[in-house]
Amino acid sequence: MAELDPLTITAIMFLSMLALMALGAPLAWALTICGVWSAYAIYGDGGLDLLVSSTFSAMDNFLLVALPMFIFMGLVLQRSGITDDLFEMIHKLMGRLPGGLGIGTVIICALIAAMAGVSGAATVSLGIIALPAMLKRGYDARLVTGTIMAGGALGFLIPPSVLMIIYAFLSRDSVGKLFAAGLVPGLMLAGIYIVYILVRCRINPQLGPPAEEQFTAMEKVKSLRFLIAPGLLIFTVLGCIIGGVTSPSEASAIGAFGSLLIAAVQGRLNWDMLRYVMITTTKLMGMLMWITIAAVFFSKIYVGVGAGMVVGELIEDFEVAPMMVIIAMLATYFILGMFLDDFAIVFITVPLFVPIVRELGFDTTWFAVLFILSMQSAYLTPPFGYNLFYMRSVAPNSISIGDIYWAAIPFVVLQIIGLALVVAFPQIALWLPNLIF
Amino acid sequence: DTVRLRFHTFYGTEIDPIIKKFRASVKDASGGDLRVQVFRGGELVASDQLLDAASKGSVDIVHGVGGYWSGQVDIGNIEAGLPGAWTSVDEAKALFASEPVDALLTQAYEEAGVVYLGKGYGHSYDLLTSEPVTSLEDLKTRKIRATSNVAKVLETFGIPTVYLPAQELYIGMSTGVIDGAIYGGPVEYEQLKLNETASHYTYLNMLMPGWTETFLANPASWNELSDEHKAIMETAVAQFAQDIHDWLAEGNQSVIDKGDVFEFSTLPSEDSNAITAASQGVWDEEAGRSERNAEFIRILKENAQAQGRL
Amino acid sequence: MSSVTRYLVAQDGLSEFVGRAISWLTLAMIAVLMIEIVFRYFLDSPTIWAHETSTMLYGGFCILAGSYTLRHRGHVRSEVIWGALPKRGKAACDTVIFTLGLIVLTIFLKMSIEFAAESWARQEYSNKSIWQPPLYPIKTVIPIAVGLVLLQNIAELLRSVLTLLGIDYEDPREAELDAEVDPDLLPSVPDSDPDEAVEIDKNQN
Ligand code: NA
Ligand code: NA
Repeated sequence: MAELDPLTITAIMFLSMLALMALGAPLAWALTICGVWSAYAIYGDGGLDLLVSSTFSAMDNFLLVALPMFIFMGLVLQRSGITDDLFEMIHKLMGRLPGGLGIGTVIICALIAAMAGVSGAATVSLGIIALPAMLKRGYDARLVTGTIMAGGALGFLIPPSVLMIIYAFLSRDSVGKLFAAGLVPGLMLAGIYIVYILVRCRINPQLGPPAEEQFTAMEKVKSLRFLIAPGLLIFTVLGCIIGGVTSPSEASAIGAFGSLLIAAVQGRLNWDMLRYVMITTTKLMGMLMWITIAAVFFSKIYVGVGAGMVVGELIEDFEVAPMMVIIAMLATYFILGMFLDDFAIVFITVPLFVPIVRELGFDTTWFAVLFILSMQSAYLTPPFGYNLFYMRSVAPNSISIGDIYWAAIPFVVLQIIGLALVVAFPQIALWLPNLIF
Repeated sequence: DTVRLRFHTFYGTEIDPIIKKFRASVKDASGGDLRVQVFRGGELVASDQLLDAASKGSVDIVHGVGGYWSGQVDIGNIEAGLPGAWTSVDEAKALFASEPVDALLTQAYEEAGVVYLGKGYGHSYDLLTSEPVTSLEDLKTRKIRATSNVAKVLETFGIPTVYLPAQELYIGMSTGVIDGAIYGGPVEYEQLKLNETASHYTYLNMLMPGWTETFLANPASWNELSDEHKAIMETAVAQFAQDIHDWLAEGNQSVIDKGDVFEFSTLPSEDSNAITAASQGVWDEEAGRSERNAEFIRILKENAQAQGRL
Repeated sequence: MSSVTRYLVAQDGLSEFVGRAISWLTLAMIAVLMIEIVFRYFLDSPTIWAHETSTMLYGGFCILAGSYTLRHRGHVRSEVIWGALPKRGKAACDTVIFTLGLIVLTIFLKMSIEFAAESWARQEYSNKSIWQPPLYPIKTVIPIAVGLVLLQNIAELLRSVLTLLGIDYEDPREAELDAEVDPDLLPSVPDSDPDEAVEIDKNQN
């Protein structure tokens, strides 16, 4: 076994893992089973000890303390009705504009993204609150569902971002730097969505008819009060991280504490909500930790076999243009994104790709942003895409799964345009971190 | 048949040329019968798990610093380097080459389930700050990143210390989470690009070399080697350690020679003496951990007296 | 209630109890970090323990959560193929997966017990900061967490084997809804079953 060349061993490892996943094995199980089998075959008993050392490394990392904190914060906000308030605000402010509610939805998504570490929170809550409201006013179902799904995926790109924390843990980049790098591309993508909605509604006003309700100037100004609490929270948490006042982990605790404070001030903090938030955080972190352990272990084995080295040498030997390597990696991400979960992709590919990216002389912070942009598409591409599932679970039955798939496609194209812009102009991502740090 | 050894260092890609030379020297000396596969810091196991990895056989030889496993092996902190323990590479080398110290290390690592192969010697280990430092007094209002025993000594002067992982040093420094760090020498600070955020390098005259490195082997893998292969490995490892030390020394010197990377200054000698005196508390604490540690500290004190420092 | 059902109720109850008990650690983590922030920025005296305490709380909390997540089918799986299979096809796949899981988790348990035992024998302490806390308590959490996941894995295996063999049994988890969606919002979703919503309330209590 040990005499097989590294690429063959790696190929066997990956294929058996994919086979187990096809059987429906939980990712953590698929990775651990293949990892234990490969470790034993390649290293004997000593290799199995990598499982325990990987476990302890995954547990003993101050950086990752931010994960449960940001998840906790997102759940509190989701339960404290911030989405309802914000939708009421954009309804008053922008309802009269053709496509205005759609544009407002993108803005709400960006605001929620700046408060929540995971994607999905915005999709679910807007799917429940904004979707029926917009359908009732005659908005096009596909445009609306697409907007909510794509906007919801912004959660990973606009900081804070759980996926970025995990990427930084694996690539040894700085969390603060990644957060700063995601902000401008995130706002740019939101801008692209807004322009798209505006253009489509300009061409065909039937897609987003203006609302009939009229509001006075006073009512409009008053509705801005809903921005105060989220604005304060976003300013504090991102200010602490990007301004470097505290470490990201400490800022995440401020965020979690602040979200409880806001809920309490608004009179929405209660025992049921707190219990739901605590228990849901527990369930999500159990999943994340066990995947982390399994994936760190699995990747140690193929690193130990020397797979990364061989891939690097192959690239050298074939004299592939460095940019082609990056494009090939992004294409890989796109294809993996159709079938796999984003956490699976980050754990499997980062230890393999990032050393090569570094070797080729690219900025790993820039590559992190490209990766996150690709993962946004993964949330929207069929057959396996979380936001498709979330949308299905909250959309009325009149919207078919086919509608949802079709709705996602134009936004995936917009995401690819955004990705291409960041590939062509790395400064979009790197300008802010270079400015601050 | 080719024998393959898995070797895990705590250094990263910065020593790649030295790794390449190390692998080639083993291969050439053995006529290709002995090969080394090298893993860099964190690739297979985290640095603080290196001792475990060697004792269990996940890797065959590890290259680390005693401080990583001082929670598991009593002498770890002492051999890594206590403030005031030695002031030159020659002094440190003579100490570790002496029979009683060598015996202490061999015995301690045997008890920990690994074979002690030998030592390597680090280089400068001083303070980098964003603002100039003229005395210890200046530091009392600043937050300094430091670890374990160095942090303990600073705390005795009322200097607040913070722990930050190396990857967060740059941002920590640039944004003011910390005002300074004790992490390595000019070349390490330049590699972390810390010169962009902090330009004042202060020699502490606390400890030189600022750390020592240790090579350990898995007993089963080591004993399986032929005497010839053992000799080849011992020679190659010693050369590898020497190459790293030379690289650090040259790197530090070249940063100094550039002239515009850092502004260098030296802590006043009365402050350096105060640090040495304060270090005695840490020495005594380490001595209290075990009889072996007490013996090691006794030798260190004898040596410091012989050198006229105590 | 058959003995199978009684066993499943007991095992699910164990994972449920552990999950609910450790969920309090989320608040503990927030508290520890907030104390550090207050001490560092407002009192200018950083604590020596908050950093490592919060890391240990994190590590212990997350790994212990594994069995609760498994009990609630919360471990991410790809359902592209599996989801399209009939009930017994799914059970066949699950039988293979949880049998392999049983073997691997047993190995994991044995090794993590050794890992913790060595730490106790050496009275190992951490050397990151001047606090130098003992490491054996957190290392002991690993075998406990792995053991709990192993026990829940056995329950999952039993469920799939019985389903595969077509043996009829009453699954106490049958009635539960695995909601991806915040249950508080569900009653407002069109077409959602009011009975399901009631079931969720029960779970919450
Ligand atoms: Na976010
Ligand atoms: Na997808």
